[in-house]
Amino acid sequence: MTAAAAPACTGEPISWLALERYALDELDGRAAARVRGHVDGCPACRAALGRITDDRRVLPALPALPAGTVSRPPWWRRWLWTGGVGLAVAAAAVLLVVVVRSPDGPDRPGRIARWKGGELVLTLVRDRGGAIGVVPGDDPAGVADVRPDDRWKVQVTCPPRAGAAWIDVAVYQAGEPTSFPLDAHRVACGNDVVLPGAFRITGGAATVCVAVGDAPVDRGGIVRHPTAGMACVFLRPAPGL
Amino acid sequence: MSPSDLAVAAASDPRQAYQRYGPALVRKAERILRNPDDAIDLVHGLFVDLIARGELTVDLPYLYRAVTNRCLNLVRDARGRARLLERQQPALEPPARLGDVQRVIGLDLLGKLSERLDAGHLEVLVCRFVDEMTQDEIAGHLGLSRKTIGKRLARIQDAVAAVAGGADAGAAGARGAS
Repeated sequence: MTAAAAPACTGEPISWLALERYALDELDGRAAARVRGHVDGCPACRAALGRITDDRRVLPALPALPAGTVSRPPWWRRWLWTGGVGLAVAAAAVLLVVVVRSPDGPDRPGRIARWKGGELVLTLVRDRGGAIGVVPGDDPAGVADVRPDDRWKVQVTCPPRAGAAWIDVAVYQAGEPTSFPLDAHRVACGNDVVLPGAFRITGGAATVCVAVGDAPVDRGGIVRHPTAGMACVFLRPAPGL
Repeated sequence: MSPSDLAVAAASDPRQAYQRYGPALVRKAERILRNPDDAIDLVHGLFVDLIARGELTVDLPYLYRAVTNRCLNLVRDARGRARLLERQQPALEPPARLGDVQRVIGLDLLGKLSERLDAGHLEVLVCRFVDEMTQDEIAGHLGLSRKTIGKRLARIQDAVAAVAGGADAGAAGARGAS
């Protein structure tokens, strides 16, 4: 290990991520006050913040967006603006969720779902002829491909303090009814908890989602509000299919 | 537009996210890769891929993880690592705010550790010794329990000690994290 000749922090440093968010004014009042208070009394962290605020670099331009990916507000915001507040509240009550995003639009859902027990992270495990792969892999922004003979298992991570959670797996595919390849399960929260059972996905691209709640999640709601509040992974067809 | 409005807009528009978060991500990549050109290329490539994949809902913590993983992919690759070592600029070495016994992980050491640790441990290593997060922050950032983070840090310390012991028994090692 090496170290630059600079003073160490007076206590526990404010992380670079927190400093960056502080500089962007993205921290809430309490967190911002904590950062401000520490930086005022810590030359090392003040210098680190200075490296951020003094940085005036210009980045190269991004290429033009391909057609069809022009961003728009999340559907829930458009919905709220058009008066769907009551329905939105009802849907949230059913699914015990906070985050909702559109199923097929540009703002594709993420692999984290939030419910009152905390956050649940979805991971898929793919068995392709004996070769085991984890989806998403090293790149959290990545997507994976799917072949009809792949065998899939579902892994979830949720905070042990949440106790148990009901998990249900849904598969969404264009032009196909929503399918539920596994029975709903009540699992004890922890790291990389594997759900019993496995399934295959035929028919190409699919979005695999898990719904989480303190009680079995209403499947009717899962069908009516695809991916809403769920942790999801998008799978594209393997090349050549 | 208020800062929170800007954050919301950036979270659903990759161009705004690139403008808003790009510099922060380049600074982060620089702390690992130790040269500005590769850092900029990496962040630029990340956003190009996000657009191509339709992954348009992003925030800074999410992008931080994506940059970590892309950097680690580069470092893990032997040829990529050799090239990075040739191009690294000592002036870009970040300050060691963690103090004498928990110093900044250099590119060479990170490369050697990447041969001993899996992706999950390497991500924790970067969070602690590059991003200088507390164990609680790491747990929240990665969606893992604090206990798991503690275990991974202990294994990381063992690996650091093994690598440092092999190369230079007197070299400082990462010994513990709060």
